[in-house]
Amino acid sequence: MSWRQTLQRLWRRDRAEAELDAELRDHVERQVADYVRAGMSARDARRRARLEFGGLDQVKELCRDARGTRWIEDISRDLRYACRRLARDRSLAALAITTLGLGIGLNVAVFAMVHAIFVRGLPYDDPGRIVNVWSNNDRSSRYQRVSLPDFEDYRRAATTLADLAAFTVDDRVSLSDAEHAPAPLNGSLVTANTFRLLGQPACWAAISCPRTAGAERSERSSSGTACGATGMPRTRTSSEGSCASTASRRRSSASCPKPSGFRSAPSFGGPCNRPRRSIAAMPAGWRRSAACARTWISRRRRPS
Amino acid sequence: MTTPRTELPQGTLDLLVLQVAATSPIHGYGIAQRIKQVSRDVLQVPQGSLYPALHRLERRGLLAAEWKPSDTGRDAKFYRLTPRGHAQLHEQTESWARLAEAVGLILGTAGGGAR
Repeated sequence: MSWRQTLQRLWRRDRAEAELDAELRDHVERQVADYVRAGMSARDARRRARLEFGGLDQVKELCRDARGTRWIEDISRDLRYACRRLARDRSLAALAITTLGLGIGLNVAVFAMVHAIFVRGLPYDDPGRIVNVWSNNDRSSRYQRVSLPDFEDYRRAATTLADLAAFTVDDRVSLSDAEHAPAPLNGSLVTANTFRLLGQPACWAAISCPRTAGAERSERSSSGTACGATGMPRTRTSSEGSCASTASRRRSSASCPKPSGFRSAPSFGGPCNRPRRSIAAMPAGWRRSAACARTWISRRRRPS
Repeated sequence: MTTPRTELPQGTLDLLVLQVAATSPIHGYGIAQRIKQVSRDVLQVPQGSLYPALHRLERRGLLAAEWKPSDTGRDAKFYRLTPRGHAQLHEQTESWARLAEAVGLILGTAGGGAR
């Protein structure tokens, strides 16, 4: 409600009160005049009329009830009273406001989390059918990453899954072009079928094949699943959302340019030092694998 | 000579107010006086219920109010019946007539039986 509307309403309330007062007084005055006409002295007439009318304030209260605006007046009176009390006891006010603030903040945080995990769901076409596949090692832990040869075997032999895509986790890459200094991004290497599998087209993509320094260095064998796939087209993705969160954790978010700000295809460098074939950017807020259901495939029972 | 005064039965005040306001615009004091005069001083409307009733009927759209200059030289709040008020008056009058007839019938037989 704007200030103007509030003032209008207040003004109307005041006017209604003034009218009520005038109406009841008019009644008393008429009664007095009638008594005077009947021969009473003005003083006696007034006293009798007053007595007969009863409590003016009581009648006013009853009229306010009948008018149906009593609750507005009650609320405004209660609010004024509350403000006066809080202004009088500053420390109590501070305590109350802090308690309420903490309570509300905590609730908002919990419900935001519940909403993100259970209500909103994953931003995929058919999230109920997507599973995370991990390998399993009896001597260490579950959630082992899948090696690329294993992945290719799984993909060839899969009968219960329509398709399998692979990605690396939490690679740090840098993005740059002629106008922009290299900026760190949170990215990952994925197999080319990833977007088809998730039903999520990338919102920005370009092909570039820069040869950066050290591009011919051999790959680290432990760096993930998809990186180093021979003959496999590779796509590097970064989501603006994860980019911002990475940057704010490590640097200021101002150092994280949006891929769409680049005029030509930017070049990038990362842990996987092969020539990059293509780059894709995902819509803001896109998350790759948050809260995916998980499936483990034992290495021992590796499909042959 | 004093006439014995009768308390208004519950719910009849609205009907009487609507009837009095049906003929011409009239202020609260006028309504109270008219009811008193027409009932030959039998019915006395207490101000404590008259004005709340007027405001309630105005809120329900059965009465419309207007401030106009009056015979005293001051402005007074005049009430008149709205079309909805007319419909309500018609309905309530019929209902009252049925009720009065039925009560009269029962009292008539009861009196006869007691004799």
